[in-house]
Amino acid sequence: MVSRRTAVKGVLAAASTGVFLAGYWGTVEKTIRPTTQLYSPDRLRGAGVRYVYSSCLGCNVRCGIRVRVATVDGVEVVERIEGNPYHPYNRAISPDHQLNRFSELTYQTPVTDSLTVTGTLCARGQDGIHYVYDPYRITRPLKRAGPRGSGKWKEISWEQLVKEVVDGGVIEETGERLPGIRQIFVYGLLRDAGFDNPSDILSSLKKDVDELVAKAADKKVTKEEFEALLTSFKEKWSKILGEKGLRLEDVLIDPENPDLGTKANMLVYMRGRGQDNADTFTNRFIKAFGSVNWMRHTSACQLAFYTGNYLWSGYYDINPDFMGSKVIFMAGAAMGRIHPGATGQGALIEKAAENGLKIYYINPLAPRTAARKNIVWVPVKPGTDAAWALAVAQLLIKNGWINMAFLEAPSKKAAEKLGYPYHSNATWLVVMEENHSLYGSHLTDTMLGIGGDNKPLVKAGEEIIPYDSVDRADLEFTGKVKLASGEEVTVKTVFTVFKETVFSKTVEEWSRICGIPVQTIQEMARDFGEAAPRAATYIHRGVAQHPNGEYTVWAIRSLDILVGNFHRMGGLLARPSLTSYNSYLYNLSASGFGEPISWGPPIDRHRAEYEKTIMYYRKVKSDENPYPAKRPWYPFSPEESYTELFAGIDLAYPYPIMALILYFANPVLSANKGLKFAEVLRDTKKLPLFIGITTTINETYLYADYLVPDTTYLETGTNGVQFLYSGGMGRYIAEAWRSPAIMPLTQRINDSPDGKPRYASMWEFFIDVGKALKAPGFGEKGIPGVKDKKYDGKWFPLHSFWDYILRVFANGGTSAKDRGILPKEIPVEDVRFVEQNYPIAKFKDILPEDEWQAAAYCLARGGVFTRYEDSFNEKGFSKRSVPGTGVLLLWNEKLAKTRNSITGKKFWGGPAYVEPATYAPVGGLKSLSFAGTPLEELYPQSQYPLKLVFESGPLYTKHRSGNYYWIKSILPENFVLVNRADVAMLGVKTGDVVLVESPEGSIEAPVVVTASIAKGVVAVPYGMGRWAETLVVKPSYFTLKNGGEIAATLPDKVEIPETAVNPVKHLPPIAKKILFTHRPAEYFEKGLAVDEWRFNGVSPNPVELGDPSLDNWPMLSWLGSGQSYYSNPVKVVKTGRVRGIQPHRVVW
Amino acid sequence: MLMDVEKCYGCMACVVACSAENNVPLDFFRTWIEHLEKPDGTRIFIPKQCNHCDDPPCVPPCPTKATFITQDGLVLVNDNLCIGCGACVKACPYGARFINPVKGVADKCTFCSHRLAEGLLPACVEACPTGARVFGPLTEDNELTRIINSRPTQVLKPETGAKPMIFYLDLPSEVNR
Repeated sequence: MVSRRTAVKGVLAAASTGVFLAGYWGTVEKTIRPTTQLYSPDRLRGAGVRYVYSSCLGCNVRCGIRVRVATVDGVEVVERIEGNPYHPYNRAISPDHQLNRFSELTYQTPVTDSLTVTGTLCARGQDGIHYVYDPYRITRPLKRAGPRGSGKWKEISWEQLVKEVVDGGVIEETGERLPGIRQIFVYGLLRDAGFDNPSDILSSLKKDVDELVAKAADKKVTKEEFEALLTSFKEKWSKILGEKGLRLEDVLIDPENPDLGTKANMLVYMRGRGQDNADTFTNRFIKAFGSVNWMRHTSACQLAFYTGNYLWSGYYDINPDFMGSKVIFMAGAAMGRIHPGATGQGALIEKAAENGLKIYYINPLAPRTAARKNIVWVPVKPGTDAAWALAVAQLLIKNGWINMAFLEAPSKKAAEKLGYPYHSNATWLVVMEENHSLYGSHLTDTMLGIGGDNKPLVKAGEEIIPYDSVDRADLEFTGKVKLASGEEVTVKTVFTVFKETVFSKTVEEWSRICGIPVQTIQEMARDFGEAAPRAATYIHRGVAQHPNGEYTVWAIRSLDILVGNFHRMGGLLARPSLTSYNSYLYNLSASGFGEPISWGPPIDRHRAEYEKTIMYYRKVKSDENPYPAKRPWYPFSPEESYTELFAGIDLAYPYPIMALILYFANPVLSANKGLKFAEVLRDTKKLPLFIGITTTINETYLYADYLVPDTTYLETGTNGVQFLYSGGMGRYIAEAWRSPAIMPLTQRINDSPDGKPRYASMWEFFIDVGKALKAPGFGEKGIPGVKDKKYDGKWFPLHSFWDYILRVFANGGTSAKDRGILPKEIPVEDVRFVEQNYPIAKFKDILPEDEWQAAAYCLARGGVFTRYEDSFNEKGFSKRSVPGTGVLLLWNEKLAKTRNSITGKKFWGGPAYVEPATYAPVGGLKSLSFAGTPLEELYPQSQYPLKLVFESGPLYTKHRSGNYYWIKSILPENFVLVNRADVAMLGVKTGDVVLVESPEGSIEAPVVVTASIAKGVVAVPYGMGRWAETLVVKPSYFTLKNGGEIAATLPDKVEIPETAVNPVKHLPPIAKKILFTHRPAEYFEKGLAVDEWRFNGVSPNPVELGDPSLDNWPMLSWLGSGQSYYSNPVKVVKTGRVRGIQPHRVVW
Repeated sequence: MLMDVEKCYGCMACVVACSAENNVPLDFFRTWIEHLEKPDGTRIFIPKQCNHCDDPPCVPPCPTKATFITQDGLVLVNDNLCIGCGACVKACPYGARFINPVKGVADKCTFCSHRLAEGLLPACVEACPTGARVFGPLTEDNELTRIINSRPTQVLKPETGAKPMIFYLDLPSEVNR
């Protein structure tokens, strides 16, 4: 028996700690006592231990991290990753403050004091050590040594890589000739041909192109007249170019369609997981090259969510300041995943568990905790979320829980009198005369003949008057007006049109559509209405990435508009503001450094209108029906699309592509039916050059011609300043800073002219290629000083990554200092801390001392953060500037005038419930008025009674976290989640192997029977099912109805030189033993053996839906081209086989 | 230590933090989370680990006295004395111990005693995003004891008489059936 203890502050027997590690003794018998040796005298504070504050890249949320690096046997090893207590997502805890983990450490706290305080950090962040020490990493440049996708690789020198990418190379083993990008570097061609000022030539050319387009748009110009203008344009420019020996075809992609741009557009850069400053830096390269095609993977992430928000606000990334909210509708937003991530969401959950917040979790999958019944699970049928939103809107309106005063304010002036820095268009009148050319347009003073300013009109009392002439207008009105043209048309207020949509079904009918009981909807509406404006919707992929996603997002967000919660505490916010890190003293941004002009629609046709192209006008002038276009165009989509990139390449539409540089991405696996992209990637005619920049060789990079080894985020990878996503914990200014924790493990290629070490990575690749091309913005005259600041007119060299990144931090630190966020006197101890601990400090001499000190202050804290309390004004509105247009729309007249690119029918211009459907009608089946055939028509419930979705959570991040071995130990292999009620009819139990069959094919996996998934839905915990990760293991879990040929072409084995992989080799044996324990020794000793943990499990993506109306390319959302991941009709079939699943491994 | 079951949302940050901080070999766990669900689909995550019992059943069976209890109540293992016989592993009613395959000695949660020595918290407590884990001396006034003294708490398997010193809030009764 032990007596009651007295409080002791930590006197412990030295030998009792678990930190002493045995030497590795391989085959020694267990009965022999192991020898022990000290790993280090003081693991936390001793000699050779250092700390770096940086930012995590385990997912995209940008939490802070504090990395502990220890020197073991002379090797620097990342030993531990914790949270950053300065960062609002991690928040600070210490022995006397462990509850209510709601705030971060005061920004001004001296950094040495911060070391005894910690920030929380999720499993992925902690497991980041495995991200760096991954045996499958490539460390040296590779070139394919066989046909595309053969899995044969050989090592080449860095110099050869750069040379062949720029000037072309030969695949010796097959005799193929690969082009170099110099041949489409139009600026360089013009310069090398003898034009003194290529930029002037291009600007002049563009001016003529713009005039041509204006003439094409002019209805009075006939077809013949236009062709004559085009002919003289071509003659003029052929002559100018011919003087230096160039032809029009050398400069323009398509001389018949000069508005498509220069040949430089044939270079595409696409990135998967991108963040700044990799984004700005690569964008800068693409702009220097003169291409419009700098692209992001947004369609595979949240593009439908972005586009949906764009429709009503003019901005795309919007979610609540939930710490200020009382009620949240969390819909299609995965707990433990969506911003602020598994780490940041901790505050949300703790607040709920402390009865400070009620969350309705609207999701086919149950929330991970009920938080003392404050998180209420509302199971919902995937794709139907607009139905519950409109039902709630109905109840808000019926019960008077809407913010009438706000909605009745017709203008900014009027709203400001109420304290709002923005207003809505609820009172504006819309022409709703069927079949009239003005249908869907706002009624204006010009149309009515009472003015000439195109001002929208409202009804106030008896009059119809301009919106800015009254403080209050009628919310509801339907009537007829006489236009200046003499026609009588029906007009309604926007709110009337919206109300008609909302009341088009009863609450009971809406309930039946979405599967949410009426009583729940009533409770939701009451709680939301009573808590408003401290009530908001928190939504993401789950509601958006469906064919109807944008309309769904808008319907849900109409609730926020109705209660007036935008841009205020507890309501919807966009992203925090930032320091001027890209351009303050030094211009490191993607413009203003001498780049040539570029023009033309991007290859994926986002932010572009088909109806404004010469190809369209030509058809119209020829009296040809311009529809269908070859692929859809997406004027409302703010970001880029995986599917439309590859469909564009495949169809050479709107123009052909010559080269793709793909960074940190895996579209073949990450998109629904992404395997279709592999067909294009294999085709050297459609895509003559494919360069990959990556850490490992995944399912997409398998098809590359050249591979550039990349660095991870704990090295130089994706270094720079990270903005935070919407909500951003309400902060006015918040950004995380990422600098290296360790120096790169990739090949050291050479030194810069001023002796700085350069390692193989994305950065040095673009610098060397830029210099080889003599592109503007690279080399000696690389970085310009910002106008009107101290370096105005001066240029700085760009020869290495360090030249760029130090200046990013100088910009950020100096601008923060000038704004008063940093103290006027930078504390010397903080600077010293950085100089003693951070690898980047080795290069501080690039900067003058004052800039370095400002940078160091922020580096010491892992970013720049302002307090929550300082982020809102006295009225409770955010201090950030109002995002978007400042007009919240319940009707978007531009959308009402936009046509479906295939059918030519106009889209509905307001939020609505629309069934998920194909883009255009299929066969003779029923179709929607502005989209295609409903999926339930195409794939009847009787054949496909269930819906397949995937589950995202705090464990795996898309498919790039298979190397998180501590997480793998917890959940090594995934399965299919099925509801108990559904299995009753199927007769399966946990462990039975089933086929999940969609119209595209089937995947085979064991089942886990659970009550925590909605009836009628099956889900696969996402992140597994890999078949290529430097090595290739042919997948056997899926069969495809079409396109199985790609899977059949996978190589049986990979040939890759050992010298080019496995940076883990040199780690101390004990480190390898801990990191990999029982994994096959060859895997981490040589890095060429298959570790089944990297290749097990299943991914639902290969069998998710294609769109039969668009040649079976992956199904997308109509307005934004978001990958439609969650509207997959399936059925489940028993195989009779059983797979043991250990009970403790049943977690997701 | 206190575990607030309603705050735990099974993110596994604590499991990985512990594994990283204490060099726990893959597939072994010093702390783990059990995943339960109710018939209505409510999910419950329950963090578990060594309970640093006041009357630990694992101490008496040790043939070399490698395992011991400190003055302030930590139950620890002296690696120099442990011969890896596994008697303590069998004796623990909570399954909290294992033989470390790298070191060959008995292994389990140490409450990160090496961190306590520096005035820091155990790694699992720090990592937890929701504040589900709270740690502190049971004989002082702190956040932990304020909860224990004002709200009903539960322990695992009280019937063993081991006097486990990890207290739970809202531990489902099914767990101790």
